[in-house]
Amino acid sequence: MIDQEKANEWIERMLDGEDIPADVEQYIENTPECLAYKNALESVVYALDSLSIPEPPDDLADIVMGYIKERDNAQAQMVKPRQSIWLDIWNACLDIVPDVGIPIILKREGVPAFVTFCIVLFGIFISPQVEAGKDIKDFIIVEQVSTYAGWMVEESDRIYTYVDSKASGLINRVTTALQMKDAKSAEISGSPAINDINGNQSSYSNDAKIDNKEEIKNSN
Amino acid sequence: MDQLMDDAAIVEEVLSGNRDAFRMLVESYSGIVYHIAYSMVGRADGAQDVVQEVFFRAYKALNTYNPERPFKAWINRITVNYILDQRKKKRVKACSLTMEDDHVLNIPDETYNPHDEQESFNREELVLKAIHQLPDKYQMVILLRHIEELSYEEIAQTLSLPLGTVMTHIHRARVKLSEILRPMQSELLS
Repeated sequence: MIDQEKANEWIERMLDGEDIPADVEQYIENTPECLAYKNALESVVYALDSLSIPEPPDDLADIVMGYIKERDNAQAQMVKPRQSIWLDIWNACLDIVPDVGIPIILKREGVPAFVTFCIVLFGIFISPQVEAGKDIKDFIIVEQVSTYAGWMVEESDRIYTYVDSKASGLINRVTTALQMKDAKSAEISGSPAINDINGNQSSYSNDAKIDNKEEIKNSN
Repeated sequence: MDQLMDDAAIVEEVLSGNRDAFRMLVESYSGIVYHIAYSMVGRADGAQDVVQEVFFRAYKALNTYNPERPFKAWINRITVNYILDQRKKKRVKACSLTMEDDHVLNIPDETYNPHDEQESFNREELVLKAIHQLPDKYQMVILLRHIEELSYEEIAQTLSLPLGTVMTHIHRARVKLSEILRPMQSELLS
C-alpha cells in the first residue's frame, strides 16, 4: 500500500521521464484514483510538450542590433543638464588665469574661497591685456593679480584690526557698566561682594582660601 | 562550461568598447527569448518587441552580469522580469482607465473559458490560453520547463528560486492546467 501523496510524487517523476520501481508503476496502474490522476497530468504534459512555438524571423539579430544602436544613439544625444552659471564663470576664469599658483597661495594663506575668486576675477578684468585679447599668459598679468591680491589681503587685515579694536572697546564699556551697576546694588544691600565679568565673587573666594591655609597651619 | 567562458569573453569584449561583439550574444540567445516571449505574449510582433527591449536592457546592464553564471539564465531572467513588469503595468492601466499607452505591450491577461472556443478549436491556442490563466509564477516555470525544456536546476537558476519551490510550482501548474483543460482532455490526447 502506497500513500496517495507518495503515489502522486511518483507520477510526477514518471511524467518527467524518470524510471520508477516496477511495483510502484503496477500500483498506479491498478489504482483507479492514481490512474485518473496520472492520465489527467499525462494529457497536460503531452499537450505542453507538443506545443510548437513559431521560429523567430531570420533577420531578428539584425533587427535587435539596429534597435540597440538606435536607442543607444538617442540616449547619447539627450541634452545634458545645464550646470550652474557660476561654475561656468569659474571654469572660464581658471582657463584664462595665467598661473593657478595665485589661488593656491591665497587658499594656503586662509583667504576664503569667495574672496580668492573675487581677487582673481578682479585681477583679470583690470588687465588691459585680457581686454585686448592679447597673450593672456603674459607675466604682467601675474604681477598685477599678485599686487591686487596682496593689496586685498592687507586691506582685509586692516579692516579686521579696526573691527576687532572697536568690538573690544564696546565689550569693555559694557563690562564696566555692569560692574558699576553691581557695585551700586551691593552698596544698597550692604554686601561687600564685587562680581567679576563672569559673575564670580572673586574677593570672597580668595579670602576663603587664605583662611583655610591659616587653619591648616594652626592645626599643624 | 565552454559556452559559459565564451559568453564571459564576449561580454568582456563588449564592455571594453566593441559594441558589435554583442551581436554574437544576440544570435545565440534571441531564439530562446523569442520563444519565451511568444508563448507569453501570443503574437509574433509582440514577441519581437519583447526581444528587442530585452536585449537593449541586457546591453545597458551588461556591467552587472556575473560571468560565473550562465548568460542564458541571466537573459531569461531579464525576459521574465520584463514581461511580468509589462503585465503589471497593463493591470494598473486597466484599473486606472487611462488612455492607451504605446509602451505597454498587449500581453494577454484575460480570463478565458475553454467552452467558448469549442467551435474554433485550435489545440495549441487553447493550451497557450490555458497557460495564460495560471498565476504568473506558475506560467513561468511551466513555460521554461516545457517550451524551453530547461531542467529544474536551470529554472531555479533563472528565476532565483529554490529547487523545491520550482518542483512544487511545476506540479501545481500541471494540476491547475489539467483542471482547466479537463473538458478537452480527449482532444488534447488526440
